[in-house]
Amino acid sequence: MRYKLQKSIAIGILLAAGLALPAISQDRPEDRFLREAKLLIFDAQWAAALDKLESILSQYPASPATPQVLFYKAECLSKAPNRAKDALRAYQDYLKTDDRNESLIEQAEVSIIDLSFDLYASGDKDAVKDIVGRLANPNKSVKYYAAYKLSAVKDKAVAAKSIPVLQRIISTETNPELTDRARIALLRVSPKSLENAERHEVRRPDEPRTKVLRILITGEGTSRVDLSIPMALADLALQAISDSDKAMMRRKGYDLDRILRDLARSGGSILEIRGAEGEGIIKIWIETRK
Amino acid sequence: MKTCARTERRLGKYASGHLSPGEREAIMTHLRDCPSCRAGETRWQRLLAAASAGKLDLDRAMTGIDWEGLAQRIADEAERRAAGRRARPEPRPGFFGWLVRPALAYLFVGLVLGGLGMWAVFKAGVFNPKPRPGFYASAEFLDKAELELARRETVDYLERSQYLLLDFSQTSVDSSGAARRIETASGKAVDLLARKKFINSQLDAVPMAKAREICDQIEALCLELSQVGGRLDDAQWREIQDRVRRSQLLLKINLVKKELQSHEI
Repeated sequence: MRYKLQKSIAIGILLAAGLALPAISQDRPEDRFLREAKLLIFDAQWAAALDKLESILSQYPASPATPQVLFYKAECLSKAPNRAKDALRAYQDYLKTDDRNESLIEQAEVSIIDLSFDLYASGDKDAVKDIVGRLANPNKSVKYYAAYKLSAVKDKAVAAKSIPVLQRIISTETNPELTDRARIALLRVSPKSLENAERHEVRRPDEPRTKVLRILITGEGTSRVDLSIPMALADLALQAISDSDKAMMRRKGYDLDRILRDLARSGGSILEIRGAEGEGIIKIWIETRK
Repeated sequence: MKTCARTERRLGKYASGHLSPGEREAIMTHLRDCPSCRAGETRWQRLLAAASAGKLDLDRAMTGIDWEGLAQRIADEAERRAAGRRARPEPRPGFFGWLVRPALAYLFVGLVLGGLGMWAVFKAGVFNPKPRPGFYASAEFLDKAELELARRETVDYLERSQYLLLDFSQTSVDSSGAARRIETASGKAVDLLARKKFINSQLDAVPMAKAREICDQIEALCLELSQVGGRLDDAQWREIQDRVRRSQLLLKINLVKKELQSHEI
């Protein structure tokens, strides 16, 4: 009985302490300073925010707010000119802390990928390892982002390491923003791999062929365009043609909806939009391939 | 009319720059006054522009022809026929007879060249484009496509942020169900953070520059909201609401969103 009473009191004290703790923690001076630093960050005053965060770290090194302070310090460093390596280190320091805030961890991983990409582009060849390593990250968002970024690397042999993840995005994801990005990335790195991914994409048995959009623009005064891309990118492709060609299409009464509608009706024949004298000819059609 | 007929015959050489300065000047003078011949000249220019795509093939084919041998064979053939005709009682050549033989030789060479030219043009796929295997697109096009994708995603991001901020600014911390709404807002903020990273690279491009600052501000708010879960004290709540109001974030979102939407065809 006595033992039970002691146990109840102990639990009661612990509960009371647990409830009181957030209230106490809200009064900590470092929390107030951190809020002030966040306000400065919101107003893009990175240098002033960095000073404040560094003073929190020096005055309250053992504070429970330290992980967050480290994260925001890394954010400020990433915006400062010529501090990319310092920012990278600061993000890595944050990831070593015990803070389990998933959003901040993901944000830090993504920022490391961005910073490594910039360092690699400016000549630091080793920096790409930080991106390649994240292709196996258990967080899907981080893994996908690493693949997209890697596909934009100029060294084709390095960029090719992103292919399996990009193909997987096309075959497993349903979000068109993710799949369209993966298609564009694969077109950049290895069009052949995109073809394979499209071929293996799950289709109905009565639809065994790949639909390909072809756009050909010829003539004087217009840029020559020759495209062969998956039909899934049709509306993006039509938006991405030059402003002068788009203006010509508008004058001829064509908007995106009409073009896509006409293409669907055309049954494989060529949709031809002829501009005025000197403008050129736009030909758009759909091919089906095995 | 005679001038038109003569000009039409020479348009091909004129367009390809194979006339003497005098002949060129004469044709230019005629083209200035004759719309019909001008149209003919434009057709030639187009044909030549299209043929330039297959120029390499044409060059390869042309180098395969033994021009000296061909001229010799034409001359020999003309000589042989002339000899045959001399053996028979031959009618006296007409007034233009002396012009006909070289003209025939030129016509033959012209036909060969014309045929090769047309072969190159058709091979370039200008009139009847044929399927080419595989996917392909220029790097310039891919950059534009990525920018277009980022434009759409930014519009979507701004729209979602707008709803989140509107909902957030209308909720009071002591209202019923506030904790649940904060938790929902926090979840939405996490989703927005995930979307933002994919548009970051393109936000530095010129057409997106105006969206950069506002998207960064939204990101800073989302980071904060993503950390609160269902907990947010009154002071924090008011501070975030004040930040949204002070920066006129909702107004800016509307303006930038409309501008980005106006770039559609």
